[in-house]
Amino acid sequence: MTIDPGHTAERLRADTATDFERFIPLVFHWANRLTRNHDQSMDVVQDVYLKWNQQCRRGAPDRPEAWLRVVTTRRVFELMRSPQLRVVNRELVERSAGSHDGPVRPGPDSDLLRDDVLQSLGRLTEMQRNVVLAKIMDQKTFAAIASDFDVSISTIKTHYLRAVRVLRETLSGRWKDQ
Amino acid sequence: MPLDCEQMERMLADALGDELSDSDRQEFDAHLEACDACRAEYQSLMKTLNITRDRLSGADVMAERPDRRPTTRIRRTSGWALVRYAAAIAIAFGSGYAMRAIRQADIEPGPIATNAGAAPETFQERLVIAHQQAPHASSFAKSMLAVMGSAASDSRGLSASRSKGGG
Repeated sequence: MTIDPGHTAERLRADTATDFERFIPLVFHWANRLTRNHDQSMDVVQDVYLKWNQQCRRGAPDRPEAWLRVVTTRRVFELMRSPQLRVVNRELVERSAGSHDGPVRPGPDSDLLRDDVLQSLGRLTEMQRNVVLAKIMDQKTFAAIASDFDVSISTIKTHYLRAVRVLRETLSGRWKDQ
Repeated sequence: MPLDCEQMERMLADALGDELSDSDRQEFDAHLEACDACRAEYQSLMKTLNITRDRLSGADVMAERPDRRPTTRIRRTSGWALVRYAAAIAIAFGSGYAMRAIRQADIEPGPIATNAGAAPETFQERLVIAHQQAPHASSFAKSMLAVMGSAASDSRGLSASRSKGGG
């Protein structure tokens, strides 16, 4: 039986597109909880979809949900670190300083930079961030997270505890001022 | 048997992750009541988690839904792609212009009817000299030489060809 490569490629595209469709709400949900911006979240969904297609050409991920969570959060924090965002923030701060009408209302991009929780999460290592976000956003157990990343439960707990301590360093100023 | 601080440290991740069993939870809470240091540590870490959890939640954020499907067509053109396109267009125009200039000049190696010793004034004259100096160069290179006026500096070659041809 001969296999038509064109048909196979077409079928692969259809499969990966269909597979990703069922994850769109989840990817969007993760991105939106982090960015709190609808348009940026849709951009993240688009970027994650392209990476999903690239990955599926090599072979679909064994644990697609875990893979998508990692890629989604990575993309959000790459967006946060982009030079364009720093330029936007510097301009907003300068305008705000010179304004006689009060502080300029920050746009969605600068919200990312002024968001101390997001900044704190950005200081974590990728593994620490993945564990904390899996726990907080998806209420996963340590055992489930360990299974997703193929590591021991004690390793996951160590990452989790270290991550919360790093977050505390940045966020402790909040309740000291209260 | 009451827990010590070292045992508390080992249970801290489970306590923060809400994965302590009921019996462990009772022992954990009992130690917290007795130990100020462990209690302060636990409370500060719980506050941190609560702040983070609150930030990542919110009814407005949770209620939003995606409004379009992603596509494999890349809508944004990268900056480098634009640079490549612009360079290709510039080279195409440059080559075309040079070819047109050479055809108009009707280049043949020979004397130029100008004043002896005078520098080439027109682009056509410089193009002829560029051809004389570098007959095997590409049309584009010759036109570039003519534009830069580099052939005008070789006055010896120009004078020699003019005196040969006479008046």
